[in-house]
Amino acid sequence: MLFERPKIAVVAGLSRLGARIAGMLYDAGYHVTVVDLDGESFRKLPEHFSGFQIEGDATDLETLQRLGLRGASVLVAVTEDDNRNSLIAQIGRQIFNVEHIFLRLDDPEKEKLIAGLNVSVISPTKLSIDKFSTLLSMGDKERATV
Amino acid sequence: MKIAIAGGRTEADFLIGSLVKKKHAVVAINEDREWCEHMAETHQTPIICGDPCKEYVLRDARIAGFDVIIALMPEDYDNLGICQMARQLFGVKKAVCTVSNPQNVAIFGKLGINNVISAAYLISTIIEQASTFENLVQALSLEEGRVSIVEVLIEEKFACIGKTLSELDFPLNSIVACVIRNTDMLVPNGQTSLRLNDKLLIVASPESQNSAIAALNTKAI
Repeated sequence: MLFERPKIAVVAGLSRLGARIAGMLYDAGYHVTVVDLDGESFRKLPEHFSGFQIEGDATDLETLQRLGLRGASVLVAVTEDDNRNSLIAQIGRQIFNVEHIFLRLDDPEKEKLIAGLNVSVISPTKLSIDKFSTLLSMGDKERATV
Repeated sequence: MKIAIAGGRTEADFLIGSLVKKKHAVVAINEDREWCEHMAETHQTPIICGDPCKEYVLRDARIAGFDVIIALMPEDYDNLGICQMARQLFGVKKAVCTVSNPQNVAIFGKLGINNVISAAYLISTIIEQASTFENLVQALSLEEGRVSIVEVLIEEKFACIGKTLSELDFPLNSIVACVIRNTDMLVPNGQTSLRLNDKLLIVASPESQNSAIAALNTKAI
């Protein structure tokens, strides 16, 4: 469809994970805006990435308004602090009502705080444990091929 | 009341002292070991050393069923996290926190944390009030700035001296709640006449506060 409105995605926090996610969304055809407190971190973005790069605090309402969170369909909160991600996700849901919200929580216990908010949690700790338990249950030969 | 204080330095120290003195059961939680050791020496109350953003630290502090949690961390999002954890996971009845970004008072309210104090906001309002009005001894902002209590000293030049309150033209949403005369306090009515050196406590909305003070000094009534 030629005239379909481009979908907007906002990625808060450019850790390695955030930079990769921003690249993925960009490749998938999203108009991506990335925001991070540290301007240096924009270097981690893939070379062909040409979305907006905003240096600022993603927990600040004015910053979020400026980078166009109203109208975005995807919000990814992947800064390195669980509480920060949790606040960004809650603002995204309660104030801007973004359709799809993803956030990173290293501490799986924190998931309880956002239960019922309809946001998707990415838990590196849980994922690593799952991977570990799969690997553990495999035989040595199988494991070598993973 | 059972009160937990998470984070904070000087303000936490002061709060612990003042709450303990008023016979509240206080637990302080702080990540800074040196601060904890110092507090444990100064105050007769449990001090837990650990990051209050972690659920297991709050569990160690046994805050379940507490009446109040007060979060004084430097980062606003940590304070939100602590308050939400205390309320949702530990059933703490009331959560109070400070924020550095004044906008977060409204945002946290939408997220269910209603007792949010912005020092920047409070201080700026007080400074603004103190510098705008002469004769104003003190002003206090309540309900997130929706109500203010202003203390005004009636000096010689005031036109209201000798007049009754009903003769003065007070704006809507303002009232003289109390008159302090020498050492007595009296709750005035319309027939109360004002005297030199009376101290008035005026409760008003921020919009009518200015005209309420002006009403005391308007000559032609």
